[in-house]
Amino acid sequence: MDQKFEGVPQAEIRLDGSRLIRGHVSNDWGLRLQWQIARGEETVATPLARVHLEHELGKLDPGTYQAVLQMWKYVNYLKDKDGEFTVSKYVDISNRLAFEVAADGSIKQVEIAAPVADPATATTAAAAK
Amino acid sequence: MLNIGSERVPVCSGINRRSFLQAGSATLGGLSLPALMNLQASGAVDESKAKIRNCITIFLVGSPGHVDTWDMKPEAPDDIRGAFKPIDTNVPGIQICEHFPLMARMMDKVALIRSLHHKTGASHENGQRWMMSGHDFNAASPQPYMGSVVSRVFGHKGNLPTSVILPAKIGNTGTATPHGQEAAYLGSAHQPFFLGGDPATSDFKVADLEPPAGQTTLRIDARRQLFKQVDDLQRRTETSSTLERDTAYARAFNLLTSPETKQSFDLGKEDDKLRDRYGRNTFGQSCLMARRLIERGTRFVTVNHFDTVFNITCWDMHADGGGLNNTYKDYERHLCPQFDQAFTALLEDLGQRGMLEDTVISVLSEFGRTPKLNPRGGRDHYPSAWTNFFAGGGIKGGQVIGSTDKIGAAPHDRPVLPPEVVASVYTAMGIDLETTMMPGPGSRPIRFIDAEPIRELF
Repeated sequence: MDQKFEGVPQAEIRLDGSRLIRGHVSNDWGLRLQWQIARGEETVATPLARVHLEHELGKLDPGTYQAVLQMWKYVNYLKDKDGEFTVSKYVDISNRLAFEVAADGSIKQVEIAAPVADPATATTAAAAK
Repeated sequence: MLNIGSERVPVCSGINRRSFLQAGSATLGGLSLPALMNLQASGAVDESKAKIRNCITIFLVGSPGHVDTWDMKPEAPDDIRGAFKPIDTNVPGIQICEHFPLMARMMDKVALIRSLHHKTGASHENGQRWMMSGHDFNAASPQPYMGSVVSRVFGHKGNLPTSVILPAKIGNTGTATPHGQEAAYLGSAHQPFFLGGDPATSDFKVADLEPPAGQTTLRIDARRQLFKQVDDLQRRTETSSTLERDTAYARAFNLLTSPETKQSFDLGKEDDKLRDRYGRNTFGQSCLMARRLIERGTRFVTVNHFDTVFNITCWDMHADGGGLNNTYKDYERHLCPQFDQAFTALLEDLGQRGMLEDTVISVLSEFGRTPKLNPRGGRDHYPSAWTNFFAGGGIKGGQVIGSTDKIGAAPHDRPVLPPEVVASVYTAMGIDLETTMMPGPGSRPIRFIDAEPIRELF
């Protein structure tokens, strides 16, 4: 019997100063839960989000970033010759937000340019650690 | 037809009493419910005179690598210490893998045994039999599963089965030999009840509790009335053994029809946030169901974390590129988080309900994994050293018992063998190993485990 994961996990995230804050994850599959912090196409960090509801962003280079909460979605264990999963993947489970880091290190939220991905189908090319 | 003794009596629907009560008997190893209930009724321990505890065993089928999880070797060479880092826990001096962050905060409740080992074969089944029965394999005389022993010793309590295995019995793990989750010479009366369904799915039902096709509640109630009338007749004409069997039939009816029994298996009665806390997956929801069953009278529940090692993400980390292709990525993204979430939810939930002190939690596996990474970056079977652990049930948490050498290759001090773990489960549950005997093969009374419990646990 393989593990079954029904439904879609969902959570809300927000930015409070330099902290990312998440709410309760409903329909939590119980797999790896992480913040994905990206600058353009590059993922700069994927810290664990399981233990704490907050994540301090810490020191970041000036620029515009996006953050989203992700969970591992298990479909099967198949992997390619390099050992990367071919079907199972990280999926976004929250709203996505954007923020700008100024030269003095201050952080402010900005309007997001891209549409919010559908949590049920979203893929994250840069998500794999 | 109904059966009265060996006589068959016609009834209106063409479905006889026995066939009704045998609904779904496949999950009971072919034994009808009344027979199971009848034979479970005899207990060997006087509950009024002993501190009796229940037990939930989590069995990590496939076996985690000890060096990657609960016995990390950060100072060892790269090809031994592996990809993960240790983190501190809430007990100074005890570190575990970074991918168990929730467990790290509850280490004061956990007793790690880091010096487990056995000296027989490295097959999954061999390890399963050791850890589920406490005995080495003997084809001529298979030994009973812990839950079956508990069933025989404690007897029956309430409507629920004494011993339950969730969500499914262990299937193919490599060789066609027993897995140690059978009643063996104790007989099918003490065979565990296998759930045989996935509590994480929205259409989950317990097959064994579903009435036969065409049977409505009203018809079942009518049948119960008829059953009572026939039994009244039996009582006037048959012996005391018949009366015992009738009690068993009544229990079986209760198991099949009682709303309370069905509710025990109904996770829809739980708060959504609590279900989330356990993890909405087969393993997490099985752990939650284990708590519900223990709360309502089941004595011994084993949750098998996987029932096979082939072609799925599971602990058996060979990284072979084929049917056994689990790697660090499976551990990091799936296995460790899934275990961390459900195990800590169980401890928390039991604690909040005041049940943790009365519920022994044991987390067991067949063996460890090779200290040295194989050429593909995986680890293979290794019975010479591994870590399992206990919590709850009067266990002294926040400690490490035994240790391994610098690379996790062999016990360094306080070596522990599987029978000592099983003896510890029995002792923690309140069974006095010196005075409680079991009917061995040929009904000869025997001590049922040839080992002493691990005294440091208590």
